Amino acid sequence: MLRSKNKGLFVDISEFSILAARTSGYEASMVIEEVADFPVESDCRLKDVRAFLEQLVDIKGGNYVANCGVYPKDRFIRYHEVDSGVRLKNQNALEKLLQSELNIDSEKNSISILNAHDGSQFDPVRSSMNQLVFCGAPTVAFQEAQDQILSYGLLPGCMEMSSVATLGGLCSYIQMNQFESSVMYIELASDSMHIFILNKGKIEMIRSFEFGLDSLFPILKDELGLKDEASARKLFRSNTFDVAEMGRKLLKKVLKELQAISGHYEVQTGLNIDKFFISLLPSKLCWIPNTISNLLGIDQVKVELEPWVQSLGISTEDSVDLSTLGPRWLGLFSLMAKFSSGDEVKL
Amino acid sequence: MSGRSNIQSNWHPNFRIESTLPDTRTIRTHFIVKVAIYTFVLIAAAFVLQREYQAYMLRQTISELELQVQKTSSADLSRLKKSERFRKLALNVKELQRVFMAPLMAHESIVELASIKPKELTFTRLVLSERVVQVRSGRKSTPKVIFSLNISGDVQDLLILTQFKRELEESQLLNPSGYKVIINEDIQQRDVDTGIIPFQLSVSLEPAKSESTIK
Repeated sequence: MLRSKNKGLFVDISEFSILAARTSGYEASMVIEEVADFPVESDCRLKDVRAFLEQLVDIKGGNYVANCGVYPKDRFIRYHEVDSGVRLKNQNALEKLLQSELNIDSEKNSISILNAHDGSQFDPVRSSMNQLVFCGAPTVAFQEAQDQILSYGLLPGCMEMSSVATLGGLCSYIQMNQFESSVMYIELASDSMHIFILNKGKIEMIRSFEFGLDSLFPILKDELGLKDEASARKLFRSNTFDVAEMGRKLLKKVLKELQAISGHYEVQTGLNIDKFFISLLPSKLCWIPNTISNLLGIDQVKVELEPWVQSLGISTEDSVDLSTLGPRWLGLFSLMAKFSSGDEVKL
Repeated sequence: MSGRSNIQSNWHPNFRIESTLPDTRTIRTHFIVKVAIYTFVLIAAAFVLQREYQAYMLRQTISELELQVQKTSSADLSRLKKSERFRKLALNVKELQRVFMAPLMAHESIVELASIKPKELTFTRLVLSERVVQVRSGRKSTPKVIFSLNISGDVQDLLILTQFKRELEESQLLNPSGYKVIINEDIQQRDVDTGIIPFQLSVSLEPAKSESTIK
């Protein structure tokens, strides 16, 4: 039986953790009633996840409608400027653009095209914007993510790419706080890294790399003299050994790309990047943003969730304290927000 | 369901794959439609099968009966012939019955005539005859027997003849029910030599209905 009742459930499912929030509903002026964090370990069992979700809502019998954010494998987010939005009215032209310039197979991938300045859906007929964001992932990857959601006893009322929702959330956060300089948003996952450069809440550059935290393990293995990369991975995630001291070495490849991109951007635009925001990473990997901050000489965006969430028209119950939550929670609350086309955000 | 699922707001592209989601409708219309279709097909199939079975049984019965007809046709023919013979014989029987149901029996009539005949009256001839006439009643016509009694004789005194005639009319034997008696008398001239008067009485017994037509 389909059960949503009046309670809303938002779930952000990443490889590191499952963040969930129960709200008063899905409509305007929603109230966050409870938030919860489930760390995903290598030996994580399905029944544990269901038990975690059961703490928030009654999902017995399954099919509890939830709005979910996922990070599908091989996801892509590409920024592209076309000569004119009118040019894409022709479906063939769009296909050609996807294949030749963006290297995206439209048959195998689920793709969404957004206007880069406000994240609205691109309309090839009406829209005249030429700064576009192409986002999506292989349909198979989305199917896997959907199957995973269903296995938790949830029915996705909406299945979004958390990366995109977070991007929208960060844009609105920057606009609300009126950051003058550019901000670099880093999404560092195991097998990929996406870097977004935002200026005054507008996307100016996106770069994607097919390496991520997994690239740290061979270095860690060599540094610690471990027998294999699996041991290095286990140690890395266990939080029992402080790897922060060797952060520079471990993040060498990542830092190199970050420096290259920021340098390129600053040269090209004449604008400074003085803040960065890093999503996804759990608190035990806080040494990563600290290392990036120290080595690149830029500050991490100190996300104050409470005023931002309130600016979205979302309130919280007294028992929910957003000040204790880290920046990775911005993605979950971004799933709740309705971003307007202008500079303002509203629910 | 979330209202968001239908309208994509900014930064919220929905990648939900509808086609592979489970059917979660409270009333599973697909299931009901399938059940209805299967039920209809089953009922239709059962109806057709039942009709076919009935037709098959009827064909079998027809062929069996045809075989039976073929087998019994010669016997039936002989029975028909017998029936025809019987019908003809029955007519004869009916005719005989009619005869035996005659209102006037010759011997009884003669005895009755003898008993009522005055001494002064002499019978010279008695003729008792009968003929069949069709008496029509509406559209139907039934055969009836008309009897005639012709009495010829001599009498010297006409009063005696009149008395005899009256007694003849009053005689119950000569006036059977269902018949009316018509007596015609024919009196000849008195013989000068002998003084006797030859007479002839015709007693006719006709079916009682006055509107009946005698052919």
